[in-house]
Amino acid sequence: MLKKGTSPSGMIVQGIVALSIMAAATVSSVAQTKLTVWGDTLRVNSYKAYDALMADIDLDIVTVAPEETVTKLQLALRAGSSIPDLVFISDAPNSAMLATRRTNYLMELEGRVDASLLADFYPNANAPCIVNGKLVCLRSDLAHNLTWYDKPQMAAFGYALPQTWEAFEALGADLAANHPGYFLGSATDPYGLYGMIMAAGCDMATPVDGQDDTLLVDLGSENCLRAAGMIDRMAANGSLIKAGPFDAEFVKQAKDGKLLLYVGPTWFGEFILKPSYEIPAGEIAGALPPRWADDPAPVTWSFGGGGFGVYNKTQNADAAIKMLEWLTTSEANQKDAVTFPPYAPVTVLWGQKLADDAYYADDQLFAAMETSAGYADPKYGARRFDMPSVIGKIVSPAIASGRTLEETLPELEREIANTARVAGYKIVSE
Amino acid sequence: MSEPLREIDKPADQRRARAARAMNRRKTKTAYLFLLPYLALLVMFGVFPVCYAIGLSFFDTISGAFAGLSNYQLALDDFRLGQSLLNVGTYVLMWVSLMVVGVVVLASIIDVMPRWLGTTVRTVYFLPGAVTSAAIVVLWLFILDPQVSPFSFVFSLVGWENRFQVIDSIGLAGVFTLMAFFAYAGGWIVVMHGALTALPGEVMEAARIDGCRPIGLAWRIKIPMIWRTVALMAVLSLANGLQLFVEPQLLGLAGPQLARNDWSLNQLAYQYAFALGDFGVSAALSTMILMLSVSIALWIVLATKFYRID
Repeated sequence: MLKKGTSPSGMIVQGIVALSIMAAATVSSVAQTKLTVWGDTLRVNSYKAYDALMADIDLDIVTVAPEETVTKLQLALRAGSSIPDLVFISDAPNSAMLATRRTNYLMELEGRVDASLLADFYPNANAPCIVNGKLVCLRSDLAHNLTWYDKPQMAAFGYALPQTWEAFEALGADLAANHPGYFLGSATDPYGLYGMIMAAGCDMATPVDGQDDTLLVDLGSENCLRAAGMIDRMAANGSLIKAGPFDAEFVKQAKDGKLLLYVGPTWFGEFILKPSYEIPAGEIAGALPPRWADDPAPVTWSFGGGGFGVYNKTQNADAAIKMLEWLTTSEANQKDAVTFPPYAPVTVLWGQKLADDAYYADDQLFAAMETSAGYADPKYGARRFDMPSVIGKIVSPAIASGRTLEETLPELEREIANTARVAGYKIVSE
Repeated sequence: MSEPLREIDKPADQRRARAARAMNRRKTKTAYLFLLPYLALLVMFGVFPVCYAIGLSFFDTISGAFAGLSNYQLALDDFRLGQSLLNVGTYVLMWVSLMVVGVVVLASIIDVMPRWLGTTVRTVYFLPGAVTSAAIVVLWLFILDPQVSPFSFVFSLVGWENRFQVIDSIGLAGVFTLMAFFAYAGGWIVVMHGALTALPGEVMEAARIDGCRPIGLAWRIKIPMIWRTVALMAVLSLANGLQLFVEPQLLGLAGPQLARNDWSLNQLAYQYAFALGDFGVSAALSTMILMLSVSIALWIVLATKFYRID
C-alpha cells in the first residue's frame, strides 16, 4: 500500500517496485483485468500509481497529447481497434464531441458511479460533462475564476477590492486617470472576454432544457450589452490592454508590476503569476470574483479543467468505473494534484499546501477558491465547438483594430449560430 | 542498283532492330525494377489513400450507406467555405507570384556573381529552407511581434505597436506568403541556378559578342531558356499552396486570440474529420481540393505545352 503524503515521483518508484514484487508473487493467483487508458504525461503518473496499487488491474497506458485526444479517438473509433477503455479529456467541454451519433464513445455514468460520490463534487463541477442531460464524464480538476490581485499595491493606491463589475470598471477608470500604465487584464484574449461576457449572464450558447442538441444564442440581451459596454470602455481607457496574458507585451508589463488585478482561473497563481510573470513573494492574493450589482451573487466562469470518461462498449465497465472514481475522488490521487480537485472532501486536504505557502500575501487564497467554486456557472457546459476560437476569430481582431465589442455582437452572434449549426445544433434565439 | 542491295540487307537490319528492341526492353525492365520500391510506397501512401478518400466521400459516416453527392452538398453549404477559398486563393496568388519573380531574380543574380561569392550566397539562401514549417511559424511569430522582434525599428517607423496591428496590416495571406517564401525559395534558387548553369556557354558567348549586357542576357536569353523549370516550380508551388494547413493551424501558438481553425480549406477538412467526426464531408472537401489542384496544374501544363519536345 502507498503511504499518505508521498510525492508523485515517490509513488511511481514505489509503484514500480510494488508492481515487480506483485508480478513475481502473484503471476497466476490474481485474475488480471486489462484496461487500455489514454492520458497526457501528468495523468500517466496517476495511471501508473493506480496500476501499482491494484493487483488485479493490468493497465495498458498510452500517452496522448491533450490536443490530440479527440482526433486520435475519432481515428480509433473509425478503425474499430485500439479503442481505450478510459480517457482523459483535457478540456472537459470537449466531452460533447465524444458523445455524438458519429462519435459515440462516452458511457453514461449516472447509475454507474456511486451516487454519494457525485453528491460531494462542487456545485456544477460536472456541468461540462453533461451532454443532452446525460452525465458522460467526471471532472479531473476545476479552473474557475478568481480575482487575483497585487495586495500591497492595491493598499498603496488606497483601493478597495472591487466586489462588483461596476466597481471593477470604476477601478479601471481611476487607474487610467491617476496611475496610467497599470492595468486589469486583456481586451483581446478570447478566454478572458468569454469569462467576462458570461459572468454577465449572456446567452452565448446555452443548452435548452429538455430539447436535445438545441442552443439558445442571443447576444442582443441587456446582460450581454452590459458586459460589452464595460469591456469597450475599459479597452478605450487602457485599463484592459490589447494583448493576451501569454503575449510578450502583456508578460513584460506584468513583470514590471503593472498588472494590478486580474480575473483569472485557479491555476493562474501557480502557473502564470509565479513562474511566468515572476511576481515576487508576498504580493499576490486571491478573492471571490466580482458580481454585477443587480445580481445577488457572482457567477464564476472557468478557463480549462479536464475530465475522465469511459468507453460505452468497454468489456470491463466495472473496473473502468472503479478507476474513474479513484482518479477523480481518491485522496491518494487528488491530495497532491497540481490543479484544484473537483471533489470537495479531498480538495480540503489539497488546499492545505496553499495555506502553508508563503508565496501568497495572505492565507485566504484557498478559501476564495472554494467559495468561488460554489458559484460555478451551470452554463459552463459541454459544446461540440470551441467558443474561444469563435471569439478569437471575430472579436479579438475587431477590438485590436479599434472597433467595439458592442458593434461586433451581431456578427459574433451570427458566427456562433453558424458554427453551432455546422456542429449539428439547432439554434433558438429566445 | 540499290533495290537488290536493300533486299540483301533486310535480314541484317531486322536483326539489328530486334537486338535494339530487346536491349530497350531490358533497359525498361531494369528501370521498373529500380522504380518498384518507390511505386510500392506511392501506391500504399499516395494512390490508395486518395482512392479511399474519394470512395469515402460518397458514403454516410454513420450508416455507411451510399449517400450520393450529399457530402459534397454539405461541404459546399458550409458558411466558411467561401472565405477559406478566398483566403487560400489570395495566398496562392501572392506566393506563386513572389516565387516566380523572387526565385528567378535571385538565381539570375547569383549566376552573374563570381563563383566563390555565388556559392556562398546560394548556401545562405538555402539555409532557411532547412527549418521545418512548424518551426518557421514560431520563428515568424517572434519576428512579427514588435515587442521582441529584431525588426521592431521597422515596425515603429510605420507605427505598428503590437502583433495584431502587424498581422492585421500585412494580412494573414501576406504573413503566410512571407513564411512560405523563406521556407521554399532557397531550395528552388538552387534548382534554378542549376538550370542557369546548364545553359550552353556558346549561346551566352555569342550574345555577349553581339553586345548583350547582363540584364538583357538574363531577360532575353537565359530566362526564356529556363521557363520550363519556372513553370514546374509554379505548378508544384500551387499544389503545395492549395494544401496550406500547418501555418494557420499553428498560429494559436502565439496565443488564443491569433488562433484560426478555419482559415484554409484543408483546415476545414480537418475540422470535419476530427472535431465533428464527419469523415464523409471531410473526404468530399479533400477530393474537391484535389480536383481543383489537378485542374489548375493541367491547365498550366497544357497552356504552356509543358511536355512538348522541341
